[in-house]
Amino acid sequence: MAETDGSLIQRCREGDLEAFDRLVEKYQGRLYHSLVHWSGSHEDAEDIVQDTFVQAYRKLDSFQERSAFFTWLYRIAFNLAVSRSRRKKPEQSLETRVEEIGEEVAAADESAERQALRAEQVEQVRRAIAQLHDDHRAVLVLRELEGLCYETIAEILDLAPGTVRSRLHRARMQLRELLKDMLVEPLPD
Amino acid sequence: MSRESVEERISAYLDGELSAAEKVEVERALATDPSLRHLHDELARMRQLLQALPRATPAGSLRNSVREAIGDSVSSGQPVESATQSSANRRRPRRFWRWGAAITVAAAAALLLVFPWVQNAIEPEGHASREAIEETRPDRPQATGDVAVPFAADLEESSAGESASAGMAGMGDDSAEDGAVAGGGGGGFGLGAGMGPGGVEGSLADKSGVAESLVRPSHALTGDPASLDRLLDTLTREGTIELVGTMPVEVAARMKPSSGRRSVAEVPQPQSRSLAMRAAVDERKKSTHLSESKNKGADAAAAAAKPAAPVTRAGNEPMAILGQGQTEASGSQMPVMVVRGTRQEIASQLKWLLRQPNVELLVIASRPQPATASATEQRAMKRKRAQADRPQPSAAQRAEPAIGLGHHGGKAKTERALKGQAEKQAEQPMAMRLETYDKKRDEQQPVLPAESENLQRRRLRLRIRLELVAEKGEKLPTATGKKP
Repeated sequence: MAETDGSLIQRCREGDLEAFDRLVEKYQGRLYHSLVHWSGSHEDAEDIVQDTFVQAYRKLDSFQERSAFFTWLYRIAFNLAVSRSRRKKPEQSLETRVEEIGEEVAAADESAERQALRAEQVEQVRRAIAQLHDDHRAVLVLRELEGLCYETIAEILDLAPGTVRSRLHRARMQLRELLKDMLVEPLPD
Repeated sequence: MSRESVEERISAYLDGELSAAEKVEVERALATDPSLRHLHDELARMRQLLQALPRATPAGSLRNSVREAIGDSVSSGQPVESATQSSANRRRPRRFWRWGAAITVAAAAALLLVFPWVQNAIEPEGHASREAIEETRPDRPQATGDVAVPFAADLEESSAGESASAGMAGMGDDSAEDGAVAGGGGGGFGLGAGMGPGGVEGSLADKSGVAESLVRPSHALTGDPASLDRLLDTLTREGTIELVGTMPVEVAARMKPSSGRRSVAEVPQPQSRSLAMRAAVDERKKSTHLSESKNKGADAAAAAAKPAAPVTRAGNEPMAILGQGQTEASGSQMPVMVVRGTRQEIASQLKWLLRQPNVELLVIASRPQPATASATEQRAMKRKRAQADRPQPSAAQRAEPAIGLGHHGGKAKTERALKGQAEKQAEQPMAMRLETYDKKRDEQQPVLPAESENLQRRRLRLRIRLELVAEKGEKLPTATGKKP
């Protein structure tokens, strides 16, 4: 039977590093996926995820379990990501430096043409996401890629739920404009 | 209700985040307004596109790298930090610096104790010794432990410090409600990491402190013309000055003389790990090499002694960036860039560099060693000087503002300093007053700018050696730093 986050955290506090390993294994994928799309870079995402877990470990005593562990983790991660982004001031915009972050874009049984089309679509969507303002991108990623509710997003980003709603709407409207050519076509099956 | 408000509700409707009453309203609007229906369909389609993005996964489990980053604190018995402790740390950011210093001293001392043979190995004779000395770094076994170790400790803020604190240096944005942690982690106190002048000595801390006011160890170089002029004056006198810089990798790679002649650039690629992680890995490598080197014997010594690539200077090209000062012993990298040219060319290069974003330069200065002195003699001389010469800074010296960063002395003060400097230099020994420097550093305003603690990680740290080339008819300083 899988251990709950609570019991793993308790074990961590008692100095059991393996319990923390379990938490890392459990959440690294989700966190990484969100951060790759937030930062547009595998490298940055990996750094942020790693730093997030390091901070989480060191601050574990301050986690009062009023929220879910992963919410707390996301909160650390996005704060780190934003701080990092502010420091970074890249010469290139995120849109132009967005990496080829696709994993396996196409299904194995797809034709080469479909695979190419799907890859193209994925690339366009990523570039469009990268053009959003950091704040808008964060809510969009947490909502659309993570499927989190407004309340959780608000908790992670330290916002009012109403702000989440309005930011999400603005993000979508901007994205709609950026992807307007794609919105008239159906997705390839 | 405004159009925008209705559209926002449609967005929330798609998310299932509306109250029952709002939901009814939106459905009614959708039924009657085709444009809103169109918007709804487009948003739904967009959601499909977003959710069709392939799942990104890390190349491998981060478990090990996370473990490695937190391992030091665990192995040293450091407790998991509470929110109270962390806020106390934020109020006392120098704590990390002190940790870094302590660890570096310990590491350097251990290397010195364990590998006396390495010391000999890294000291070529004759003219080559100058290169070797300038290439010597605190994380490399030092030939001049009495001088280099404390200085290394003083400057080694990033790698060891962050390693010791498990990558938490620089955290600063904590604001979460339940003591949760916010970001800013690992901001990277990049300046000075791993960069002792390593055996170089200079006229940086004459007893009077006047020379120090001209080329102050570890002062930041700004684009301020007065600061630059002082540096160039000292360069003219000394022949060589060494800086430590942090800059975006792109800037380092683009460095070229303002005349447009292309320079040779060899800079390391940015590494994929965070600075905290890299620091942790570096530390680990140090200890690994420590044990491995016991077996490697002379091979490791030879590798540690390997000097940087020779200066490459094509034709009249005033600048060349040399190979990296990578050491077997440390496993870390510190590229060395030699900016060689006339005063005007060097000034032009520095001005260009200082105009670039996110560039910080720190003067550590160096003076060429007498080519005839053997390494052993140099060490003995330094020890002797360090013992005999322990001047305390006068009140006036302590009051001397740091150069750069808006703390410039007045013009009159600078002129007085310039005037007195030559006399003082002739009288005073030129040992680096590290203890004095440490003390002054604590007493005075921090020399480094506050924002240095938040340097971005993807910067390159490198040493920049300014070497003056004679213009027509001009004579350069000799190896002892005096003009003939």
